[in-house]
Amino acid sequence: MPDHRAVLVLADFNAANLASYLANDASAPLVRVQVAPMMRGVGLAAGHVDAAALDTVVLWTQPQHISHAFARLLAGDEVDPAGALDEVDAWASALEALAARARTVLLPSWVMPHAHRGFGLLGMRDHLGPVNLLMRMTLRLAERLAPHDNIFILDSQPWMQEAGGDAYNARLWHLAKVPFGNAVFKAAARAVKAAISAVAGESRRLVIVDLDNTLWGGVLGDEGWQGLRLGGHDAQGEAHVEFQRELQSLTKRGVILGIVSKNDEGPALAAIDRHPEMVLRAADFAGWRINWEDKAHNVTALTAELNLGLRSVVFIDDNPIERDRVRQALPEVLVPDWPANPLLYPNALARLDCFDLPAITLEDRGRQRAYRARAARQRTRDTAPSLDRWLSGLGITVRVEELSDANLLRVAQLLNKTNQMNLTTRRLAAAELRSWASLPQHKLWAFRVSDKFEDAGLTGLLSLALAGQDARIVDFVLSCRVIGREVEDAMLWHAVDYARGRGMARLLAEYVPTDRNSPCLRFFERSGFERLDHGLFGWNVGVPFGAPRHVTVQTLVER
Amino acid sequence: MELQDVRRTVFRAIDELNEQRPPAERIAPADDVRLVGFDGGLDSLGIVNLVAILEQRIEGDLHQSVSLIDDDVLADASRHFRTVGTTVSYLASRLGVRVDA
Repeated sequence: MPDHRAVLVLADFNAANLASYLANDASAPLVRVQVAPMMRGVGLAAGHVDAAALDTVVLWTQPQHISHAFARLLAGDEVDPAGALDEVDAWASALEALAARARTVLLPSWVMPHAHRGFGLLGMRDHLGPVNLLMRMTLRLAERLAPHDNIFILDSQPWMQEAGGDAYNARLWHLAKVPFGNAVFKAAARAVKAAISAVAGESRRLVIVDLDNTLWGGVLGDEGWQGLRLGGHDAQGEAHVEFQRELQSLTKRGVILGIVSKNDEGPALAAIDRHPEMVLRAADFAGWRINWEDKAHNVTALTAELNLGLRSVVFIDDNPIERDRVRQALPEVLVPDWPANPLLYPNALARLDCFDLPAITLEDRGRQRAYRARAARQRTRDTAPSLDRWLSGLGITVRVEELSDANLLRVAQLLNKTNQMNLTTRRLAAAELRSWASLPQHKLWAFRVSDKFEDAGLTGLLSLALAGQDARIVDFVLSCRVIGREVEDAMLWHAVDYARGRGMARLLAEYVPTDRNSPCLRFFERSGFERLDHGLFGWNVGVPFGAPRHVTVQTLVER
Repeated sequence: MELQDVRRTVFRAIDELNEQRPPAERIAPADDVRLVGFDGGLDSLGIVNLVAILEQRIEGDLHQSVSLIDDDVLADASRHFRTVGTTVSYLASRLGVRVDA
């Protein structure tokens, strides 16, 4: 089962129902689940688990089993919170040891034991209130684990809220030691899968929205932009504004926006820019296809224009026929069921978990701006007399830097999310990447790219494994945002230059094909590297690699 | 309430239970399908899940509250939940619905 992610479920209760939902849910990613025997306390995290062979460990505990002080408080005793926090520290240390052996550890957050209402008025009192202590314990754990980029606390409160009265089931608890109802485990399984996708860099990156009765209420062609339902003293109009705000907030988490709508482009863009209640303006969209053509065709074209894959796309449209058309024609695109009532739009968008990220980098926050810069750059390309003249006018600078704590998250994100210009499509969690790069026979550089239109940030990555006289390129990764501007050539020039400095004989690059990385093959075919075998390219390091003519390379690393 | 309401509730419970089962092991909603015992698909946790879901559905769909199992889960289960059909009959009897209607 090569496409299945391996997940280990550890818990201090019977977690078989969670495992069943995880294993039998047909949505991506598919998972293969093991459940370890039920165990309590620190031993749960310290057991003889071959965690390294697993993608993800889900470790779900109940607070009364981690902290005796908390258990005593629940029994009515007065306790010193410091004792409970010491116990949380001990638990955090055990988790740190586990995380050193696992790729990713997911911890559902603690909740009050079932049917415990927390002593009412005393619930938040220091020394007496279990709710007070549980909040402190949770915060302490979050603070202790914050430096670890492969441990994530999943907020379990939404699962409890979603389950409502079914969050706890006395029958399951007393007969099978299952402390939550199945509705909780179903929600938890969805959250775990979303987390696995997020850590693997499979989050969706482009939301394509319809206009009429989606971004705004009403039909532009019938009512004109003045007649649209948007804002004002109108519940539906307000809901559309709120929906736009939700879309806007996604752009601050690295998601870009596009429009596919059956309308005339001129009046539609005028409505977007003129309507006083519009939250989003044309500049907030990375691109659009506003015409009367088939929407599946338009989604494909817009996604290609933005250099993204269809697996990055979410398509939102009020019309079930259009949704069905895109779903049938483009199964890789996520087409969520969409409520008929516009009042439910903001919540429907907020509930999508496909945009989750393990971290937010500066590059994520600036992605929308980057796409706008890219459109401006493309306009200059369209009018430039030649490619050479265009490149020389861009003022491209590539800065080379070593892997560090400051750039680790972004480098790992780039490694895990890039598909097209990616030589081997190796995927590693941040901690694994750091560990790999720390070995003396390995070298890894990150590349920051800027030109006169934008600072694209850290968008390139190249790593080498040195063995004897050969240096082998392990990762050659470049964001699609900067492809085709000689940055690729600058990276190879840097690698050859390094290998020459180390007295190596050959620099090798073995292309590992996927269904999406053919741009990388095409680059190596024209790079000047000699094709030694089917997918193997090589450079005789005795010969310098030509420096890129239009790129200024700033090498600030030790040789 | 009629027997078909009870049967619908049991079938819905089976649908819900099937979400936890691999496609090849899903339980068909038919009276003669074995649930418990020889050739039955449910282990002890499966039985507990079925009972818990049924009790919830009876409350939610039929607005009644019953305890379907007393002391010995496996013994009770092998009597009442042997097949989908015996499960429907048992629920009907507990809810006071005429089986021969």
